[in-house]
Amino acid sequence: MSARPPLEQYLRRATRGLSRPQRLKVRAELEEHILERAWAAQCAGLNEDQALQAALDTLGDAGQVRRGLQAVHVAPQLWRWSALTLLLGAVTLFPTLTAAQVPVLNSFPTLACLADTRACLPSAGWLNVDSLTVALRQLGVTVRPVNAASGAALQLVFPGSRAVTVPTSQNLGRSPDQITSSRFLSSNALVYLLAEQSGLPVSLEGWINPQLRVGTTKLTLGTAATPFEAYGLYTGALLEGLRRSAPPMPGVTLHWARGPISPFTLEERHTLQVSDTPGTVYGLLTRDPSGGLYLDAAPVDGKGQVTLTALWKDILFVPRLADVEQLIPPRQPLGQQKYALLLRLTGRVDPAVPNVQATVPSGVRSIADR
Amino acid sequence: MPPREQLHGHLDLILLTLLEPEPLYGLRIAQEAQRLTDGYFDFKEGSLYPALHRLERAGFLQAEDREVGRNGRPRKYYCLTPSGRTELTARQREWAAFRQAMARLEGQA
Repeated sequence: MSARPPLEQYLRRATRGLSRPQRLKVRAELEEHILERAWAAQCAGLNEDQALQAALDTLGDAGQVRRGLQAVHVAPQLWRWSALTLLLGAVTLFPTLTAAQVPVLNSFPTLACLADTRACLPSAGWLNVDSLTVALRQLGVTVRPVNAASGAALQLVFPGSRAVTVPTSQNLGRSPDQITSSRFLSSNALVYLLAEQSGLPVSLEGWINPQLRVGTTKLTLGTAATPFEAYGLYTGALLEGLRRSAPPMPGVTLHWARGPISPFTLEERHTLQVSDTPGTVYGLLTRDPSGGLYLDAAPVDGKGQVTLTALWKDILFVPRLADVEQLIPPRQPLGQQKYALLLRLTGRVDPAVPNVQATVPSGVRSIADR
Repeated sequence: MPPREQLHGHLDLILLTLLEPEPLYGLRIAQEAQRLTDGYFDFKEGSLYPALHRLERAGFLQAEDREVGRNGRPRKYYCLTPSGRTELTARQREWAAFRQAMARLEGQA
C-alpha cells in the first residue's frame, strides 16, 4: 500500500524512546486515530495518499508528540525508579538468600563507538547505586564509594576478587531531563569492568532478568515486578567480541536495530534456523554502503530459531569475523545481493576468552519474513 | 482559535469536561472538542495523547479497550474515575471563580 511508509515513519518517530511494551500500546492508539481520520478524509473525496497526509497533519509534528509522550512515560519513570529501586533493594536484605536481585532501569544503548576504549562502552540498563550496594553487601561484596579520576565511582571487591572500580552517573542519557537525583551505573560498565579487573570468571545467562555470575556470586539483573530486557547488555557483549576479534573499524558509525539511538528501526526480519540451545544469544550484523554497521541481538527460541532484523531483505552469510569488511555493499548497483555476519555469544564475558563466534545458519542465504 | 498556550494551560480541564458525560476514545475526544466549541478548540490532535496518558497516570482517567478500530485492534476509551470527577469539580470551581473575578474586573473598566 503506497500510504504505509509515511504512516510507519510517523509512528516510529512519535514513539521512539518509549519502552517496548509502551511503544506498542501507543503505536496502536495513534495508528487507529490516523487510519480513522484518513478514512473520513477519503470519504470526503481525497485519494489515499492525500487522506493519510491530511490525517498526519491534524496530529501535528511527530517530534512534538514524542516529546510529550516521553515527558509522561520516560522522565517520571526515572524518578519513580530511584525510589522503587531503593525499596526493592531493601527487600533483598534477607540474609537467607544466596543470590540477590537488583532492579534495572530498562534503556537502550546511548553511546558506543568501535574504537578500542572503555569510554566507548554503550550505556544501557541502569542500576541504582543505593539499591545495588544493598544487594551486593548482602552477597558479601565489599562496596565503597570512591572518587576516581573520571568522577564518582563505586569500588567493588567480590569474594576472592581484586578491587574493581565502576563509574557512576546522574545522567542516564544525553538530554538534561534525564539527569536524576540518584546515582546510577550502567549494567554494561558493571559487567565488563568486572570481567576485566576482578580476576574471576564472569558470565551472563538469560535474556529477561539475566543472571550475572562473578566467581561464585550470583546477581540477577531485574526483578519479576520490573523485568529487565538485556538487549543493550548483549549488544554491548557483541561489540566487545567484535573489538577483540574483528579488524579495527575506526570511524565506523554504529546503529542499533532497535531503540532511540537508531535513525530508524530495521524492518527486515530474518528468522534463522540455528538449532542451538534456547536462550543462547545471537547477533546479526549488516552494513550500509558508507560502512555504517547495523546490529541486532536476540535469544534462540524453543524451536532452535532466532529472529533478527537486518538492513537488507536478501542476505548471504559470510563465515568469519575477519570478513566484516566484506559486508559493505557497493553503492551501485542497488538491489545486488548483500552480505551479513551472524554472531553467536558464548555467555562468558572474559577478555582472555573469545566470547563471540561467527556462524552460518541452516541455508547460507536468508530472505526476510516480510 | 485561542492562543496555543491558553489551550494547553487548560487542556486537563477541557479533557475532563469532555469525558464527564461518557467515555470516549482519542479521535472522538478531538472531534467533540471541535463540535461543542464550533471549531474554537482546534488543536493538534497529537497533543491529546500525552495529556490523556498523564491524566491516566494521575488516576483521573481509566482506559479500557472496546470495539475493534480500523487497524484491527481495540479502541482505547478513556473514562473518568471517581478521583477524576473530584478533580474536575475542583477545577470547574477554580475556573468559575476566575471567570467571576474577570467579570468583576471588566465591570470596573
